[in-house]
Amino acid sequence: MAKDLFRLDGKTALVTGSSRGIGLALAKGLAQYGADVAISSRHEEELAQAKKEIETETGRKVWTFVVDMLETAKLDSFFQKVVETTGGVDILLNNAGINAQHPAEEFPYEVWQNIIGTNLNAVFVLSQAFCRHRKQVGKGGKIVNTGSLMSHMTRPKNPPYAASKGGILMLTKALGAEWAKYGITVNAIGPGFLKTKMTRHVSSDETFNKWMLARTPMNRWGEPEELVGAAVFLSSDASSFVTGQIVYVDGGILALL
Amino acid sequence: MEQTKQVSVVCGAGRGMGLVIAEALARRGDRLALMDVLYKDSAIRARAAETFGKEVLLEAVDISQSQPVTDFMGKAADRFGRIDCLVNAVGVNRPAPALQVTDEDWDFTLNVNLKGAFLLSREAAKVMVKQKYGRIVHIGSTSSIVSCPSAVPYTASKHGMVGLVRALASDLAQYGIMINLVCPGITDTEMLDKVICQRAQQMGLTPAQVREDMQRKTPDGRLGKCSDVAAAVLFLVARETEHINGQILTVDGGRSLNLV
Repeated sequence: MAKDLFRLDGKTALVTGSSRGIGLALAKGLAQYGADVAISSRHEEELAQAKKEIETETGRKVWTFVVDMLETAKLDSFFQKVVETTGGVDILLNNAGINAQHPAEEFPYEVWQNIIGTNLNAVFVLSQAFCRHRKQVGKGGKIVNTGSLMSHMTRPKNPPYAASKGGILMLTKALGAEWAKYGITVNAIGPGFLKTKMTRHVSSDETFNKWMLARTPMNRWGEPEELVGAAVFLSSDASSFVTGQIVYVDGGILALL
Repeated sequence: MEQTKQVSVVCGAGRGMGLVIAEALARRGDRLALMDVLYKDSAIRARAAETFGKEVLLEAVDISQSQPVTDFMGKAADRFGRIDCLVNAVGVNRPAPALQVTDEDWDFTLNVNLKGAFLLSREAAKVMVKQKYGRIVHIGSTSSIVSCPSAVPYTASKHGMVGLVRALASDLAQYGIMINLVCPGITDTEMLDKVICQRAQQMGLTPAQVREDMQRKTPDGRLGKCSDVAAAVLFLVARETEHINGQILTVDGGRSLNLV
């Protein structure tokens, strides 16, 4: 039988922001396809729970790391610790992300910095650490970033989120082009509206729900698990000649005005 | 911006955007050759003759056929000695859910919107090549970059115009010809009134409610005006505008970037 291009057996993935929501679904998804996973977030208890959940459902190895993406100066040593603990990282899923909404003209600068810091700066610093690690190992690797509909369009009151996710789009292209020579592919996933804790404040809002359903050709919310296919594709040999791309998983929103 | 007077051909000049564009070119002092199937209507033709004066060339041309287009460009070149600008504002749409689109709907829409755009460009460019100068602007739509429901042939034809403009630009740039695409969003025209009525019926709303909804979704809070589109066209067909080729200029108040 032909080799299964999508299997991740023998690979280790670091998924950031993975104690819940999209990150947890992605970590579990990669584990289901054979990867061992290092999961990280700011929340120790949630991580322990997530580890148990992934181990039970997949039987793969799971390591947990408490880390704050805003502590940029510590991210390199965090990554080193992950490498030492797991024996090496083949796949990096830069998923950790935050958001807050204020009218643009009143947006607190500190909040701007936190969003850009978490969603964009941390992605760059961790990707650098990953690249140096892969060069040292002498093998290529896979980076998958979490973009957003706001990598392409915008909604009012979201300037830093839109800027950070637009930044992810171009960082994905920039690193994809520059690190192709090391055999590292860099791609992104652009989720549409998914039911997670982060979107609970809007998913419980009737007006928003009505608008969102009408705006989405598939006429429903997405589930975090529906990103797994794209994540596995972009993390596996199936995407060996794909780099600098973003795959939107949005129920058709961006195809429609 | 003070602009040089030129000789301009406008297709679809009978009403709506095309008419406003032709009027703007007339104010610039251009000599005009205007096409519209509506000129078969003697009242519309008479009104156009009054608006644009004695010198104007007016003709009802089926742009989906090459011979009438060739003939018209020949007449325009004979009368004015040259053709500097071509503006194509023709657009037809037969809204229908995808599975109800007939072969005839498809052929009609693609033949007018896309084949027509090509024939106009080719025949005008034959004159422009001799002058080593030309300005061509086609009117696309936000449907050139995204889609709307129940408009499969229209969307395909308008997306096709993006490819047409880019491909023509790379072939014809060497002759001093610039070809660009202006993509209006929802613009207040007679064609829009029809769309609004249709949509209101489908959604069980009043036309006023549909219109308000369209306005609300546009970041600058209003629908586009024909003059907004004309301003963009005038910029791109100006002799003073140079080195912009194969580009898409969206004139939609930010609508297509706004996820609302």
